[in-house]
Amino acid sequence: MTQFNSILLGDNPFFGVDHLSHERARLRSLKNNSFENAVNVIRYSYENGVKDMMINTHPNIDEFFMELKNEDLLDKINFHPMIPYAAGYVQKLTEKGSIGVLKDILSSTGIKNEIKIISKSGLGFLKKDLGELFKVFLDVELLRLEKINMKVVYLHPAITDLALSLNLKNIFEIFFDHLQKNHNVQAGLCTKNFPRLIDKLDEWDLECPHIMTSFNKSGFLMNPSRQECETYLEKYSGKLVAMNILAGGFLDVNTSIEYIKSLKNIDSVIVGVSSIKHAQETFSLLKS
Amino acid sequence: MNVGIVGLGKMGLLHTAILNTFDDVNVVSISEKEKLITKYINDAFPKTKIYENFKDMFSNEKLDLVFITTPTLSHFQIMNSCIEHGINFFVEKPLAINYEETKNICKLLQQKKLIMAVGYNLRFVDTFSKTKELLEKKILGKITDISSSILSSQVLVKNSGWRLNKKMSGGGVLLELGCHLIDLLLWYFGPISKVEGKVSSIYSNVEDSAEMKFTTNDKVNGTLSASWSLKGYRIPEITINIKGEHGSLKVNQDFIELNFKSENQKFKSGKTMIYKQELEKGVSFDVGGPDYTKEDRHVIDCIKHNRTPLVDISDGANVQSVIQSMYAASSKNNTQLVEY
Repeated sequence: MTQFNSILLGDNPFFGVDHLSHERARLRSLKNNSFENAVNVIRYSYENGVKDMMINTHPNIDEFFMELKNEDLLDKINFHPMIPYAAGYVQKLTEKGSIGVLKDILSSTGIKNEIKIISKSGLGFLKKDLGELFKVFLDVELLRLEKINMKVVYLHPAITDLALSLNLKNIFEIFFDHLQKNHNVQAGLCTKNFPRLIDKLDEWDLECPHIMTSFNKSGFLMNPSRQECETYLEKYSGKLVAMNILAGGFLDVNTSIEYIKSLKNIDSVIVGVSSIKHAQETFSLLKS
Repeated sequence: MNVGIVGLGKMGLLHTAILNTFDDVNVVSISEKEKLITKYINDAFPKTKIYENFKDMFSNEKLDLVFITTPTLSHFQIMNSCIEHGINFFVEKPLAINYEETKNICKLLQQKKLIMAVGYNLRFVDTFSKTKELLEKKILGKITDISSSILSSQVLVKNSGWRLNKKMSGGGVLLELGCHLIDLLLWYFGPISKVEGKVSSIYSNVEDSAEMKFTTNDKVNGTLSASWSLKGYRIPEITINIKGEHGSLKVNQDFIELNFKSENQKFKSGKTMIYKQELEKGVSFDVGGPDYTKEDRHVIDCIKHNRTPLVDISDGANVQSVIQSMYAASSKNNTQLVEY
């Protein structure tokens, strides 16, 4: 049985994201949109040795950080952000189209002095170079996370898998290099296509020491299949963070944890807990 | 198989990404006229030929299939050109900005043996395809009532973008999102014979919401609500509630909820839930959702084996006809018969 290096709290239950039922999540968030419960669960988790948290840059993330700061918790938690907030970009693409979103990213560079790239090459250069645009995109996303302790920053699967499918080796090189050199933080990749990512990284001779991907008994979001993902897990030499271990709430906690503990080579797990009682049960099973 | 892409916006990029992972497909050329985008394409796709004009691409490249992923206004012209050049095509939904254009395309296609598909991807979402399977098994017996909705928070402020410009899009939420729901309704229940109801605008010069009643050819009454201006929807939610003589079925992207009055085929009396997690089998590569991968795989296989796609031009045209009738019913404040 695997002992995990760390348990990461997932942020979905605190931001109204529910993979079992979007309808249920929406109805819940209409009833209660404060972070009071989140703060209580995070405090309980911290006091019980769970000090890491995975976080998406949700639209109301600043409010969430403020709540944690007010409760003297913000500086105590190690955050593992995933960027960008993909749902937000999909929304923007629908509202403004690709050109509108590109112009938004480009114009945001003009008002942020913190982004050094402009001083070097100017906006004209940026408009021609995909790599430079990607750096600015990362800088803009990370601006919102300046106040927190970041352990590893993960690239959202929407970008990881897009770059992977298009064979954009350059995007991965820039991501690893830019985060290390300009933000002094480790880079990780989140994917829905773990075996293909491993094959491509090997082919490109790139190392990714942190990968976050789904592992669960029902094979949910494991492509091309659960079996293939399990085979590649044994090959991977970096630290693997397992997400969706409950298959989005479809599986019960006992079955899920029994499965995930049976796998070799899982470094850490992400668990979404919505209450202190839920946290108690889950942590005790994971640590036993 | 050699594939060309026309339009590299959100959907063009998504299909290019998926197609690029298929071993039997080469994305050989892309046509995109926005210079801001083409500057980046040259970086990203060094082996792919980039054209500013799709007609040049059709003339110069030997293409087996074209994906049309441009704003709706240009679909007709590009489809027309594909037909002239004898190239099979996939066109993103909706087929065109109005029913007249779709009728013309159907006529032109009658003279050529081409394979064409329309991007109603929800037919490839596991819960919706499973529902089709259950309805074909007559699991509810005679259908008595249908209520359906497609709701989202996409348009909550006045904004720009081609989708909100009636000249470029042809319509608002009914044409942009409601078309998905109408396609499912036609797939499940057959032709809709008449419609009535109202569309209204809050933020844009296209409709932001629609409340419609419809009757199917089988004389089943139903309702359809569509809005992209409701708060609280992280992603669009599509729900169809179906009542029948044996019980009811509710389906959305996440689950199917069955309620039977007594034991029915393999289902027990009372409530049974079927979640997407039970249905999902994994795809060769997932970028943007497994349904898109399945859709693209299906289209490629149809071209390879000369088969009619699950969603062909007549399906796309039928959706358009229902929408056109809904617009007419709203503006004339009466009941409109749907022409097919």
